[in-house]
Amino acid sequence: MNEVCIIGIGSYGPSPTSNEVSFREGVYEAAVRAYSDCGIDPRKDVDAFIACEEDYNVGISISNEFSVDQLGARLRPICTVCSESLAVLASGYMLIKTGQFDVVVVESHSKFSNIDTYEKILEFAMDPLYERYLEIHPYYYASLQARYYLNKFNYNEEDLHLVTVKNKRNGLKNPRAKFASNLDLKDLKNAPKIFDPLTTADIAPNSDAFYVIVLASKDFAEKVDSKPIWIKSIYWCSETSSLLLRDLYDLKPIKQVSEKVYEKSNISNPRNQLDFAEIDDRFAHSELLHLEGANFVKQGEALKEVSMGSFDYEGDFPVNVSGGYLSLGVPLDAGGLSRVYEACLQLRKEAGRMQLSNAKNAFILTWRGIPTSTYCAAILSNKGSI
Amino acid sequence: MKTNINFRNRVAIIGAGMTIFRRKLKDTPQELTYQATKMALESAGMDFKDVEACVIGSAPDAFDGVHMKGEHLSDGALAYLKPVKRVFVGGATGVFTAISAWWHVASGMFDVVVAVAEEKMSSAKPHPQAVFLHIWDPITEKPLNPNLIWIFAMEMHRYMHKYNIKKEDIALVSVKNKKNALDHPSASAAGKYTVEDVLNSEVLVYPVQRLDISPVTDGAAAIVLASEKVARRYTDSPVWIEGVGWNLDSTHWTSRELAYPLYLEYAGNMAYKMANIDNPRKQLDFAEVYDPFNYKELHHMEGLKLADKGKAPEMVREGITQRDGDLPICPSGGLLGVGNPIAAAGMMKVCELYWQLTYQADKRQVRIKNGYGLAQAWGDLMQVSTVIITRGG
Repeated sequence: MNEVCIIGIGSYGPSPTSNEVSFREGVYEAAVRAYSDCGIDPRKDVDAFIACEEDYNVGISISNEFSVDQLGARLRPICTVCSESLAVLASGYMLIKTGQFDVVVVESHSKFSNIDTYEKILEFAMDPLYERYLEIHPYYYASLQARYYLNKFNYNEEDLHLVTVKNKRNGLKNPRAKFASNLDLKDLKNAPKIFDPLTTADIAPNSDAFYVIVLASKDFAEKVDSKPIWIKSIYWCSETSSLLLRDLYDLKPIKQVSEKVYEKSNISNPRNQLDFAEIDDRFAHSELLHLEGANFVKQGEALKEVSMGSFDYEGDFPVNVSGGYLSLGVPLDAGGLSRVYEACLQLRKEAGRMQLSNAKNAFILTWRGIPTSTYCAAILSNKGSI
Repeated sequence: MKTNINFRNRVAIIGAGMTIFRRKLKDTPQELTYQATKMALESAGMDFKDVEACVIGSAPDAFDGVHMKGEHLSDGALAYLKPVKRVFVGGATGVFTAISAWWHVASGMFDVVVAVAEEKMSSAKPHPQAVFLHIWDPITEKPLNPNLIWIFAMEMHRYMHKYNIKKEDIALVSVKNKKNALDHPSASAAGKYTVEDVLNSEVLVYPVQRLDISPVTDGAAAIVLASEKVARRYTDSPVWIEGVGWNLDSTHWTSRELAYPLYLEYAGNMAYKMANIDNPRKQLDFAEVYDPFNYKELHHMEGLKLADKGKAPEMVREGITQRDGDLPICPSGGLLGVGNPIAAAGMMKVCELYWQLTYQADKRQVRIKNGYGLAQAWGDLMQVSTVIITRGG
C-alpha cells in the first residue's frame, strides 16, 4: 500500500482574536505558508482539497461555498467534511490511499472571536427533544465528569489543577501558546470555580486559528523538497450524540480509536514504543480520561502519574509539551490540525525551545468536545517505518 | 465487460433504500435516517453489525435546526462506536455522500460502508427559503436579501437568452419528469401535466414558474457500499462504481458566465477519465442528472457533454430523453417528480442507478445496453457539481 505523509504545514494564529483578517483571509495566510513550506503550486500540483467547517460556527448557511478561492482551489475538486479536523485529515489520507490522488490539502479554521453566543450554538448541538432546553451552559457536563472522576478514584479537588499547571507551564516554551502562564497550585486553590470543581484556568479558552496541511503520496513526497512526516495510522469513531445515554467515565470510544491505531501500527506497548503525545485537554480532567482510555496508564492512575511528573517535559512520556489546548486555546474543530501542526514541528526537529531530544513517533488524540462523543487518533512518525 | 484498470480496490453498491418523500413528514431527522439505512441494509441482506463505517450527507444545518448535524444523525445511521462523518457540498451533497463512501472503501480501510443522506426542509419557518437568506457574502450580497429562486431565475434567463431557447421547450422537462415519477413509489410531485399547465402556473421570479421548480420535501435515502471480496459474497449483481468527480467554482458567482456550467464539465471529465469513458453520449445507457429546476436538466446535460451547448432542448423535443428514448434522462422522475429533500434527492439518484442496473426498477426500467449509468448533483452558489458513474454486473 502507498504510504501517506504530511509534506507541508501552515498556520495563522492561534490567537485570542484576529481582527486584522476575515476568516477567508486567515485561511489564505495559512495556505500560502503551507504551500511554500513544500514548494507546491495549488493550481497545478494539488489533486483535491478538503475544508473542515460547520455552518453555525462560521455564521453562514452552506459555508462550503466560501471555502474555495483562498485555497487556490477554484475549478478544482474541493469538498467540505464536517467533523473534528483530525477525522477530516483521515479523509485526505483515504483519498491518497485510493491511488487516484497524489496530493490532498486539508484546511480547518476557527474564527471564534466572531461568535457572540457560543453556548447558544452548543445548545443547538444538543438533542432537540430531551437535552436542549435545560437553559444552562452545556459545560455543566464537564463539571459532572470532573466531579465523578475525582470521587471515583478518591482524589482531592486540588489535584485536578496539576494538569492545568503542567500544560500552562509547558506552553511558556511555545511561541504560539497565547494562553500559557506560570501558575502554581497555590494560585488555583482559591480561584473561583465556574463549573465546580473546574476553575476558569482548568477550562481551555477558545481561540482563532487557521491551519492548512498538505498530504502527499510517497512518490510525490520524494519529488519535492520537504521533510515528510508519515501518517502511520489514523482512525475516528463516535459513540452516540446523546449525553443521556453515556457514562460520565466513558472510555469506550477512546479505547476504540486508540486500539485501532495501535493495531495498525503494530504497537503493543504504547508508552514504550511511542515518544510523546498530543492529547485533548480542553478540560483539565479530559487529559486524564484520555490518557487512561488510550492505555498510557491504568484506570484511575493518570492523576497520580501527573503528580509524579511522568508526563512532564522531562518525564518518561511527555504529554502536551506544546502546552495543549489549555495553553494554545481550542480553535473549535481545527483543534486536531493544531495538534498535528505541533507534532509535526517536534518530529521535524523544528520545535525550538520545546524540542524533545527523542521525538520520533507521536500519538495524537482529539475529541470534538461537548456534546459529541467523536474521538480521533493518529500516529505520526518521522521515519518511513516504525 | 471490461474491468476498470484505474482502481486498486473496486467498490460496489450492493443495496439501496429510501423513505417516502413528502412535505411535513412527522418523522424526526434521526428516524428518517434510520428508516433509509435499515432499508438499504435489508436490500443488501446485511445487518448493522456488518457495517464498518458510515458517511452521512445533509445540507445546511439550519434546515433541521441542529448544530453538528452529522453527530445528531449518527444514531439514526446505526453508527454506534463506528467511524462516522458528515460531508457537505451544498445541493450536491447527495451524490457526494456516495463519493465519500467510495473513498472509504477504495482506500482499503473499510469493507462495508453505509452512505445515508437526510434532509428535513419543511420544519424551517416561515419557509425553507429563509435558510437561504444567510448563504450570501455577508458584506456585498446579504444586504440585498436575495433568495435562491432569484439567482436561478438569472441563470435561466441567461441560458435562454444566449442559446435562444423557448420556455415551451424547457417546460417539456417538467412534463417528462413529473410523468416518469408516476411510476415511483416514493414520489411526491408526480402527475400528468401539459406544457400549457407549466406555462400557466404561478410566476415566482420570472422566468421561473411554480411547475418549473421542485417542491420542498422531507426524506432520506441510503446505499450500502462494499469491497469486491465482500460484494461477491452477498450478491451476484453488484453495481460497480467506475468513476467519481467533483468540482467547485469560485465563490464569486457574480463574475461567472452563467450560461454554461464549466465546473460540471471539469467534474464530468474527472469521472469519465476514471471510468474510461470517451464518448458519454454513446456509452451511457441513461443519466440521472440533477433537475431541481427544469432548465437545470438541460444545462447539466450540456455540461456533461450529453448534448452540445444550447442543443439539449432539441433532444428533449425529439423524445430522446424519454424513458424509452435513446438516452433516458431522469427515468426516476427526478427532483421535479419525486421531490427535492436536498441531500436525500441526490442520493435518490444514486439509488436509482442501483435499481436500474440490477433490473429492480419495475415500471421505471430503462433498456440497459452498455451497462453504464450516471448520477449528478449540483449546488452552492451555482458553483459545485458532483458526478458518479456506475456499471452493472
